Order: sequence, then structure tokens, then C-alpha cells
Amino acid sequence: MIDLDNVVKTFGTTRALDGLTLHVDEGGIHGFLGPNGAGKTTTLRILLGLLKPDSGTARLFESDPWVKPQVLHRKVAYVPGEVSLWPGMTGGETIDALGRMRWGYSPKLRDELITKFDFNPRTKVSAYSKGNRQKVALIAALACDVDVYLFDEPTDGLDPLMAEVFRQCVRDLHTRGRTVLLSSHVLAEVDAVCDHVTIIRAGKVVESGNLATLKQVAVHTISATVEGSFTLQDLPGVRNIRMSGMNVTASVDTTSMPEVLSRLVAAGTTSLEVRPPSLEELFLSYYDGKPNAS
Amino acid sequence: MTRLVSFTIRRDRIRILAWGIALSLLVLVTAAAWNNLYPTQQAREAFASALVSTPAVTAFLGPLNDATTVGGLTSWRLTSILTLVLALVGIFLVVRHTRAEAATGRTDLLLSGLLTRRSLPIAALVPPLLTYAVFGVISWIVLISFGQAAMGALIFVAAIVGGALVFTSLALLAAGTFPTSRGASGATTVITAVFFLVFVASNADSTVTWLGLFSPFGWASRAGAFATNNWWWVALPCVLTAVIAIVAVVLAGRRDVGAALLPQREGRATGGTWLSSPLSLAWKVDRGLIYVWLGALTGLAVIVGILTKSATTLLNSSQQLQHLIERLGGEGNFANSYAASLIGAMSLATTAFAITLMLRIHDDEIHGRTELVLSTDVSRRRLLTARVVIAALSTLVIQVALGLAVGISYTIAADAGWAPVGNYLGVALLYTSAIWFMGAVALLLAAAIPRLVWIAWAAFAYVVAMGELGALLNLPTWMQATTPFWFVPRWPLEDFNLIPVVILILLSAILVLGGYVGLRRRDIPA
Repeated sequence: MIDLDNVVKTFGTTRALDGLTLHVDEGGIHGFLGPNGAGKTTTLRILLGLLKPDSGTARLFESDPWVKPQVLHRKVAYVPGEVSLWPGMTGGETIDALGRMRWGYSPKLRDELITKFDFNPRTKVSAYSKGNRQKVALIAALACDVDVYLFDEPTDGLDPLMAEVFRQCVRDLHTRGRTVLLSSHVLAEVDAVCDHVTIIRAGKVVESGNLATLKQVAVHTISATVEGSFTLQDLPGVRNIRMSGMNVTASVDTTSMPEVLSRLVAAGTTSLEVRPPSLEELFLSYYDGKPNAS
Repeated sequence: MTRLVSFTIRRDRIRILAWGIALSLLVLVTAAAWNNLYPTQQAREAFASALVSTPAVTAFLGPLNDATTVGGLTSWRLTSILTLVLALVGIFLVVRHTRAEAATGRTDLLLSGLLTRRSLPIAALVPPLLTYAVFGVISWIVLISFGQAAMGALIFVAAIVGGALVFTSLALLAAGTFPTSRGASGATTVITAVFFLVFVASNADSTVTWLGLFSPFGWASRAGAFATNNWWWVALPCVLTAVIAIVAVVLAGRRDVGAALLPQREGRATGGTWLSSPLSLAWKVDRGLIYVWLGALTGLAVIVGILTKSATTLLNSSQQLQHLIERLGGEGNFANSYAASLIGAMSLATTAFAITLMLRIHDDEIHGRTELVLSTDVSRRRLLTARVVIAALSTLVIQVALGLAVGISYTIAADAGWAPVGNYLGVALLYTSAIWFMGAVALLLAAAIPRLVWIAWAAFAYVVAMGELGALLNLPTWMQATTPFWFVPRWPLEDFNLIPVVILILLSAILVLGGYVGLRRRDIPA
């Protein structure tokens, strides 16, 4: 459905995308993570045919978006990160204008979304806060029944209640078999709705895959109460060892896990917890260069 | 408070200096031109005696108070225009520091410090005041260096600044009244335009001169720099400014921060069914601007038609000048050349409108609206076509309206039959080709080379300067022929020649095509 292969995009001397590869399958809810400036927006713009990649291939429905963007756009709805609208129009007018220029626009769905998002469509755009402008773009996109939804930090500026409404909408899209690419730096959001994630840094993918699998193979945190004496210092892949009395916590790679567990049990363990990383810990581990920096 | 003022100055220091210096340069160039063209007092008086007999020529400028000195001629030529430009600059700066700030929430950031609600409107007056000071000091020195009377030069700048201040303080009041910055600056600009038209009308005929008493532009003219040097007409706008500013500041102290006197009006909850394409969207967004320009230029054109009539009458009453009229080919021809030159000037205003409209393409792009529309089922070509169609048609409609307005008002005033209506409509239509050319330049820049969009306004300034100064400074023909307006035939004085017009339209079409090609090939946003 979405296939980017080794895409490079430079702006002047800045290498915004440095050989990015990203695949999203039909029906997937794909989280796209990275800090500001990592290349998330650039990636989405390439998928929309707004930017031309310097090298590599970008495909949407197996076609090149740069060559015939608007044909592809019949199956796509997009919410940009920074939403600026036409001053002098109301929110409702803007939603209708944008929706009608897309395919699959449903006024009925629009009215439902306006209620869900607790949005006043009569207000002039110039009086809206950032969150309300974001709602305009979200409603205009979600009111269209298309195959693919591209969201660029869609909940930026929304309050937590509205962010939850958005998550519910994404879950509904998933049940209806739609494909979603959700760029975000709100990790809890991605954790809550996505089944796959791609983490990028400086225009390169540092990790990509099924969210549950990623968590399985990543560094786990163990905490245990141990009566006897033991040592973990000499094992590779064990870090952040903290001892206080009989309690010990440490970050452990999957490869060292059996050895760590057998030593702890041999020393007489009375309680043991092994916890997979949260997405946040996972994410930070790629950025700090040290696993489990919590 | 001092911190806020110095912060405000810091943010606008470039604007303050640029406007102040650019406008005083105009004083320098004009004074130099008078000095070169009419170096002796005799020459100046000869020029004036020809002019005084045609007060209608002076409608936009007011009466010539002192013809004996370079300063007097400079003051006559520039007072009303500079008052207008300084007023617009002041309005822009004040709204920028009040309503626009409140809208973006920066006000709250500032007021969370130690400031009171009243300090913001006071601080907002600082940038315009400094701009006026820069302009005033440099212009005063310029005129003195041309050997002009210090007192006259002082009255000259004080009268201009006084008039501009009235509108600047009105902008402060409007900023607290209207909920949006567009509303505030729009309302103040319209008020300024109305008072300018009152002033123009007051100069059109001696029976309505009293109208000028009600316009700050009339006051600036009555101050009579280098002639009567009347301080009362300088004091009046200053007192009025103080009163308006105090009211605005007191009102600001009583209101919630960011609140406006007029409520934010609610609009329609749904878009009309026609609002479903880039063309209808562009129309929806642009129509306000189109109506304002259409109204303003048509109103001006009606006055121009009446002026044409009174200019002819006054010329006919003088024996000497009747010869001049006959040499020009009779009364009809004089009226034609007079009206045609003013239609030319109004066509420059239409050009400014066309450029504004075309550069909205760029404005949409830098604000991310282009990206939003292009993510829908709208191609780049359709998006650009919507803008081209709206701009081409609206400039055409404005030109038709102002041509008809000049013709009809002249015909009614002079009882001249329907021929002039066709004539003036024709003149206005011929100019459309040059307007389209300038608009096409702006479109090419916005669509293909957005980092160079400033060239559109630079080119416009160049065209205006060439039109104003080219003949006055006796520049060589090849230099004057570097603007599209130079090629538009001066019909009906010259032959009706469609070739240059067709060439201009073809060139515009090529530029527009270049815009399409450029937009298709580049990244968005660039």
C-alpha cells in the first residue's frame, strides 16, 4: 500500500531523508515516530507527491505520487501538522470546501464528527485556537471515506479529551479495514492505537516492525528480591544494575536473560518481575544510544 | 514599560528606518526635479500661472500655495500623497502591534510580565511616531540643504505628520473595536480613503472648497507651507490625535486583554453547495478584496469624470489657453488626454490590486494552505488556473467599471453624448494588457520562483517611478520604454493600435505558461 525504498531528499545542504525505507500494509495502523526535524513531514509530503525525492522510489498503491498525484489523492485523506486556514471563512465552510474537493465526503459523517469533537462550525477561522484549527483539518479528513489516511502530528494542540476522541476514530478506521500512517511524537498515542511502528532519526529508519515484537526482543527490566549473594557485573548486555538491601533492578538484553535468571534463582529469589519496555523506553533507547535510559 | 517600548522598537527597527528613509528620498528627488526644471523664480511662476488656471489638475494635490520657491512646489506636489502613504504605514504598524498581537496570543505573553493593559496601545504608537520622526528630520534637512526656509520646511513636515497621525490614532481605536486585524486595518483604510476622496472632491470646484475643512488632507494643505505657514492647521490634527489616542488607551484599560468592542460575528455552519472547487474557494477568499477595489476605483473614476469636465470649462474661460486647447485639437481632445492620463494612473492602482491577488498564491503556500488543497483531488494546474481566472477577470471588470464610470460621469457633467463613454472604456481596456503583464510577472514568480516574489513589488515601484519621474526628469526614451505601460497606445490622441496590446497579452500568456511549468516541476513548499 505504502512503499518507500531508500528515499533520499536534500534541502540545500541538509539531508532531510537519508535512505529511508518504509512499508505499510493494507489495513495497518502504522506509527511513525521521531523527534522534530527527523524527516516525518518530508516523508508524508513525498507520499503526497508534493516533494520529489532525489533518489529512491516512493510508491502509493503501486504508483509514483510525483507523476500523477491527484489520481492517488482520490484514495487518500491528509491532515498536515501546521494547520493554517483561510481567514474570513468559518470552520464549517472550510470543512465543506476541503471535504468536497476530496472523494468520499459524507456530510452525515461530518455532522457526527462535529458533535464528537465538540466543535463550533460557525466561528470565523481567525478566531480559532491551534487546537480548533487542527479539528477543522481532522474533521475534513475523517469525514471522507477513503483507503489511506495520513496524519502528521494530528493531536498537537488538542486537549487530552479530544486526543482520546481522535484515538477512537483511528480505532474505528482500523475496524473498517482502512490503512493509517500516523506521524507523532506522542508515544502514548502510538502505543494506544498502532500495531506497527517505524522509528526514524536524522532521515534514517532506526527500527521498524510489529510493536509487540519490538517490545519482546528489546531490553527488559527485571526487578527481584534475592536472599543470597550473586554478581551480574561480569555479564554482557546487563546494565543499570542497582542494589539496595535485598532488592535488585537491572536492564537485561534478551540474549543474557537466561543466564541472569539462573543466577538469580540459584542465589535464592523470593520475588521476580520481568517487564518489557514501554514504547517510551524503547524510543529513548534509540536516541540516547543507551538502552533503558529511564 | 520602557522594556516593552524598547522591545517594540527592536522588532520594528528595520521597518521604521526603511519607511522613514524611503519616503524622505521622495522629498529629495522631487525637490531636485523642481530645482532642475525650474531653476529661476520666473520659470517657477510661469509654470504656476499656467497651472493655477487649471485647478482641476491639482485636485489630488490641493491648491498651489507658493509658486515662488522650490519648497513651495515640493510641498504642493507631495503633501497630500505623503500624508496618505504615512497614514497607511501608521495604520499597518499600529494594527500589527495591537490586534494582530492579541490574535496570535503574544499579548498574553507580554502582559504576564509587569505591564498594564494600557501600556500596549501606548507602545503601539511608538513605531509610527519614530517612522514619522525619521521621515520628518531627514526631509527637513533635505529642504534646508536646497536653501529653503527652515520654518516653511518645518510646517511642511509637521502638516504631513499631523494629518497622518489622525489616521494612526484611529487605527488604535479600531484595533480595540474590531475583533480581527483585517477588520481593524480594513476599516481604518476605508476611512482614510473616504477622507482623501472628500479632499479631492473639495478641490474639484470652487463652490465646494469648504468640504476640505472636514478632511485632515485639507488641513495639511491649508497649513500653507512656505506661504502662509499657518500653525493652527498643524495644531488641529495634533489635538484631535491626542483625544482619539486617549480614548483608545482608556478603553483598552477597561477591557479584557484581546477583547474587542464588536463581538466576533458567527458565520455559516456549512459551506454553500457551490463551494466545492479551487475556483469557488478562491472566489470566496478573494471577493472581499475585489469588492473593495472595485468600489474604491469606481468611486474615484466618477470624480475623475467630473474633474475632466471642470478642467475643460476652466481652460475655455481663459483666452490664452483656448489657443492651447485648439492646438491640442479642440475641447474634446483636451478632455480625452486629461481623462486618459488619469485612467492611466488608476490603471496603476489596478496593477497593485492584480499583484496583491497573484501573490496570494505565495501567501497560501507559506501558510500551508496550498499543501492542504493539493492533498485533495486538486491538481497543481487546477489550483493555479483558479487564481489566474479570478485575477484576470476581476482586473478586467475593474477596468471596465472605471472606464464606464469616467465616461458616464463626464458625459452627464458635460452633456457630451455617448461617444466619450466608448472612448474612456476603450482607454481603460487598452491598459488592461499592461496590467495583465504585470500580474503575469507576479504569477510567474509566485508559481515558479517563490523566493524571488519581492521582485513583483520592486517591478511595480519601478513602473510607478518611471511613469511619475520619467517625463519630469527627461529620461531617455529607451529608459522610459522599459515598462509595459509605455507601450500602451495613448488612444484617442494616438492611433488606435492593437499590435502592442496583443503583444503584451501574448507575453503575459507566455509568462503564465512559465508559471504552470515551474509549479509542476518544483517542490511544495519550496
